[in-house]
Amino acid sequence: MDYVIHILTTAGIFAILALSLDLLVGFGGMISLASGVFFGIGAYSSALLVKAGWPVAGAMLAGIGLSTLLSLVIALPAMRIRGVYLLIVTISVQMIFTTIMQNWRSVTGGDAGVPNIPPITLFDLKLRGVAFVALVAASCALLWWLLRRMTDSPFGRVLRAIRDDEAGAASLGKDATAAKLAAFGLSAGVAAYAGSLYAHYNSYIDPLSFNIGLSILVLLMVMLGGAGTLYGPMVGAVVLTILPEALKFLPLPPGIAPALRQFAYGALLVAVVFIRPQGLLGKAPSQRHAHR
Amino acid sequence: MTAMHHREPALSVRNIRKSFSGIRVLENVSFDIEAGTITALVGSNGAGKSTLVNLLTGVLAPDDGEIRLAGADVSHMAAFRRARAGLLRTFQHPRVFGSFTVAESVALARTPPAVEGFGTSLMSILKRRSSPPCFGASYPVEERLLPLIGMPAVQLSYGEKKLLMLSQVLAAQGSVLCLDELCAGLEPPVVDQVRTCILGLATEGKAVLFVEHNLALVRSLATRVIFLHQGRVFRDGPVDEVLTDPHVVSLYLGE
Repeated sequence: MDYVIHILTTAGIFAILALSLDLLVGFGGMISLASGVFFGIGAYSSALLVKAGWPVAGAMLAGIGLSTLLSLVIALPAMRIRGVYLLIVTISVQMIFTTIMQNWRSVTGGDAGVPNIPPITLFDLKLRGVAFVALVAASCALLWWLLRRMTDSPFGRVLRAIRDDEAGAASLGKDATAAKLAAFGLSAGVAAYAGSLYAHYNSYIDPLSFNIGLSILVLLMVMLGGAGTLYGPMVGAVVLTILPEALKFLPLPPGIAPALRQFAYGALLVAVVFIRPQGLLGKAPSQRHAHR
Repeated sequence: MTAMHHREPALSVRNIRKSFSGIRVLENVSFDIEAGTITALVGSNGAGKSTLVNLLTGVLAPDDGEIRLAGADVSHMAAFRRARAGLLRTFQHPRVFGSFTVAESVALARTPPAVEGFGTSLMSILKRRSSPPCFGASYPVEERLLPLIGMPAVQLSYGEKKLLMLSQVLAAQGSVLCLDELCAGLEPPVVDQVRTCILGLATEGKAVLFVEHNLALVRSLATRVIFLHQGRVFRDGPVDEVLTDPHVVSLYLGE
């Protein structure tokens, strides 16, 4: 039972992270491989500040604020570029972040990481197990509702218009830079919140948890589930969290089992790409560009 | 304030130059356009008409020269700021927002900058105030889109997409409208309605500059024609004078 709760908690935290990236990829049309950076900033800020005596809520907010601020600093010069060039910038930022976290030992503890992070407490009650899953699920639901409303709001319309046709949006007076910056900042803040939950849940963090592998995994969750659908990335997060665990139960011959598991994981991903390139819940392109 | 208060032209273009990789596309283009007038921009393919519209609206930056909107220098202003200042356009090739319905497209154009900021939108979401897109046709030509308002914009026909672009420009409430071959490819009854619409816009006091190849349409709409030839203003004057000028006729129709 603890095992199931653990998987659900992890899946829920990743669902929040995937939602934050969907705001960029699905609605802003900006592909980023720096989720790990903002996830990591949230986790490290929250962990280090709480260990320094801050209340959890304050540490969380500080992490969210720092992450948002840093994302704006990174995004401001990066807003002029798009597509694969933006992707390269975010990869560089991700690499730099991992290097800093590994080498700034006096603060981050280097590769040894930060141990003994206290759990989140509510009225002297430590949030663990089912209570923590409830917190994660509620956060996820609230975020989903907020993003859903946002996509139908005037701001969301501007963001979508810029994704669809930036020059066309500019011809109607829409400020692409401002809208993209806001989306980047919001996305980074949400990722930091997920990171904070992760740190207090896991009680231990190290640079490996926030490296480019994680950023690729989150992007995979978004693309697998269906970018721009909000439901899709959450489903992607659950699937890609449960799948490696579920594959452990396959009756495989010992010795080659880990390799076969990796193979099955890869084969399933490739199958999805071929069968549903728009993602599990994504709209089929034929529906969007119908006849006439 | 001086006693002799001179009203600035709605749009003023001075000595605009533009080259692409060494090839002069526009050379010393200058003209003024007054509010409430309709001016046609005519010329052969490659004369620089679309480049001029792109320069005016900020899609391209001029190499030299000045563009003033009601007296204010907008030569180096970003395209979106010019649009907010009232300088609007339609595109020669119809373009629509791929994920938008017809109603959403018009709502997008109508929403003022103050409403669509991130903070403002967030507040209205938290207050559970919704902002459903509304269409609100104000010209007969827009009523053609009324049965289609729920349809994805990409599913519209060529002509319908052009009407949607026009509706967006109408909703955005500009003072100077650059219409790049808006009527090309439209059916005659629709062209009639677009013409009525443009005449109405001029009556409202908007300055209209339209690129058009159909000279019958130019005669029935414009009072003035700017004839571009090889990137220069070759003739600029009343429609009858320019279109009957033998040089213009031979350049435009002669070959």
